[in-house]
Amino acid sequence: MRAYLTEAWERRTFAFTFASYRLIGGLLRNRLGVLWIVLKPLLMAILYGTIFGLVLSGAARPTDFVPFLLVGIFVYEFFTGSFGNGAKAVTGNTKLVQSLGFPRILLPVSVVAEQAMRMVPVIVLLGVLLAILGEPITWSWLLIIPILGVMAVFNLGVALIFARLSVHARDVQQFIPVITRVLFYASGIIFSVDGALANYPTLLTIAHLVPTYEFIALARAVLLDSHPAPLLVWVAAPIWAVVAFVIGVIYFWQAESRYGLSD
Amino acid sequence: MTELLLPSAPSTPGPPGPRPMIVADNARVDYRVYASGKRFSPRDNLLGLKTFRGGRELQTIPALRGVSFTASEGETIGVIGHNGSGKSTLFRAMSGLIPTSEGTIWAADRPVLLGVNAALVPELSGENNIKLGLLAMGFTPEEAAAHVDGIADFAELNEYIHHPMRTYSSGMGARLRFAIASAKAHSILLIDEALSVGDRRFKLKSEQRIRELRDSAGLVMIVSHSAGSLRDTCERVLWIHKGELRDDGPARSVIDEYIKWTKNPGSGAVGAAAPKQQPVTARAEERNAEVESESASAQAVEGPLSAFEQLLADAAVEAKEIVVPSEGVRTIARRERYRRSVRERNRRRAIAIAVTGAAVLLAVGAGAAIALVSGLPKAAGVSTPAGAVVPGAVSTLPVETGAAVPVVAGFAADTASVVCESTGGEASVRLSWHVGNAADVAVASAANAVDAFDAPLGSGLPVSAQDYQVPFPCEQSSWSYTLTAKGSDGSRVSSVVTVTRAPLEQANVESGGGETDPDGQPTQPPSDGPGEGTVPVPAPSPSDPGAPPSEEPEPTPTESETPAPEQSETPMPVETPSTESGTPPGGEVATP
Repeated sequence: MRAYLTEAWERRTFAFTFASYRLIGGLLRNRLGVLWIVLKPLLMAILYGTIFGLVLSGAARPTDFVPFLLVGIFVYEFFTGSFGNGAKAVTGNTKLVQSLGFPRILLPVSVVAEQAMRMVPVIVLLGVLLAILGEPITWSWLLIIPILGVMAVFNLGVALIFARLSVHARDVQQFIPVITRVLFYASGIIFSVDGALANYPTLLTIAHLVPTYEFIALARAVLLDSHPAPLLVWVAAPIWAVVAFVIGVIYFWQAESRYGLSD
Repeated sequence: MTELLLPSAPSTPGPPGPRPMIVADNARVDYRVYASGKRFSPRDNLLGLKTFRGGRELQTIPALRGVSFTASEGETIGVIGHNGSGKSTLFRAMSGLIPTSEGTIWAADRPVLLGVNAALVPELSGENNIKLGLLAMGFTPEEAAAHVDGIADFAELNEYIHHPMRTYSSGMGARLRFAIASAKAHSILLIDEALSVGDRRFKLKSEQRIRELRDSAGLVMIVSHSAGSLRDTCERVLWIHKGELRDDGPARSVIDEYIKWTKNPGSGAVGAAAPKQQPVTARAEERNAEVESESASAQAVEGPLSAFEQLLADAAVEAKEIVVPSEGVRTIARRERYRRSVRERNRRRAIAIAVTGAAVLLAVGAGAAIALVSGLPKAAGVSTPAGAVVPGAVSTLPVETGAAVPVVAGFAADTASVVCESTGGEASVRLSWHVGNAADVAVASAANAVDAFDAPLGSGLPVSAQDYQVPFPCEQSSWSYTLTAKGSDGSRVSSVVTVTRAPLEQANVESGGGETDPDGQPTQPPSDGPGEGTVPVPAPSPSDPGAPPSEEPEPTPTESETPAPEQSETPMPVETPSTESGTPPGGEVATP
């Protein structure tokens, strides 16, 4: 295990080079190229903003809906990308796995690294939009970087677990959109969990413990003026990240020799 | 991983002299495949494809059925066998890329597989693939950067080095892969049909490179269909047949056996591997022909005229035969068709570009519009008391449209939740309001909404006030303040604001407001809103009280237009955006 991680660490440049090449390579095939990184979440935000802005009412509707929604969708995008692509990290690179010998853990790592690189323009855009929308620019905005860093660790753990699972049974990949959707609604991206569940304290605590909710809540806490995060969230988010990472690394490593077989 | 590093001491019986480099001990590899045919690509060399019964069940296909041999230092070993016999599987298992399902393969060092099947990342350019491959093999970034040019030169990719690998021809891809894999000297080298790809020029070059590598490598194993080249390069040959090691011995005798067998395969069907289904002979004959042609071409290569040149010449002859008679009508028709398709493609491309552009413009416009619309109330909200966000207010519009019906144009508390030092004490809340058409105004404080004239905290108040201070009982978790305006004809309109006690933790606070307070929104922070105690929104009190306010903020356009009777049945909380620019923030209860 230790030797494995050491070897992986020594070849980390492979993961990052791979990530950046894939990012560029993937984007160059589209006409609009890099623009798509920011266009996609923006379109999502417009779509959800329009629909749920009209549908939602009552306590579930947060006070400053547009910034609230923007932060939620943009941050959640990081998780969706890492989760969906991370699950395909091994099965999608079969040829690479079968022709070169290297620690396979680098594949999920490179996926998360790629998604993290994608987040850079997204976060910049988010900052600009929030400034336009009249959110006061504060020093606490800088805290979004460590928060996303912790979230990347969490995403990596999840990606590792699902990368191995989808080697065992590809069906897992069919299930991923469902999980993504469930978490999307469970993490209060388009509505305020606090408002919607105010009368059900137990449910509310459970909702606060949903990992994706926590990272989104933290991002809102540092970016927006009027959405402070409860202490529970500040504590639970790093715990989630560490737990997911440790389990993910061990679980992924145990099947290291099997990855070549996934057709 | 199946291979283990054994530094010097061999644990398996081997020849006493040279050190064993690879020891395969009854190695078996099973592929598990769904009968959907996902894994039917020929390169997987699967056996028993014909035995599928058609269901979707998981099939286990033995690709290697127990292969044992010992390869020692300094040997060059060839591996032969027909397609699908398990040669490539054996090599992959030896290099540790796939695990054995039974038995073990020991290796003294990590074997490196040079294969034509090995692919890199098709989306990336050749140059990036070189870098990635080198990094994956354990080069440092600096070393990799230094090697890139040499490898690119060796692969002779020239300007194609910057093109994505998916655009490469198979020969170019194979050259590149070979160049990358052979960049480093390895102690165990496994070559999988690497000699049979590329044009003649590259073939010579790669043979030269392999000879160099072989000198530095401890052990070389080569898979090839070219019996001639194996006879030249190897002293020992393994013959793999249907996953089993059929023969292992000096190159010349094994290859002779193999060639004899290919000419008459029925004579020596290997026991366990004999397929049950019918077309054995047919397939075997096909294979026979195939192998013969291969060996023929192999011999041709060694002759003065290469197979490629032969092929070119053949093609030229064929082309002459075909092209000359069809010069006339057909050529013109084809040209016409081609031109039409080009025009069509250009038109489609233009449309696609236009649509994409329009979509982008639309998206940007929509984004800007939303930003603008939501930016306006935000700006307006700066001057609004934060208490206006209190959601527990009942909103009803006056039923009567008599001339003197009063209108509550604004009623808000300075804060949504009050901070109490202790539950026994008392805090204060400041109210602000603006009422039109009122003869008398009263404020009441109670747990629920009441008519303020029934139990007034203060009556005869002015129609407009800021900072009207009222006490908040701290033993209550939430408390309602009712503003009632009495019109000259006696009709009354009430508006309620509910203030909650700020919890120290963000725990849930039971909502105290019954029907008037459907939701306490306990997690609403003790807002230190920017406009504490300032003027409520200077909303114009409409002269016609029944009419809804004209300027409606975008998010809740329908709310206050709902007819009053329905609203009194279903209390509808009002939130920020609507309270900020014109809608009555508190509710108005018309009591004729």
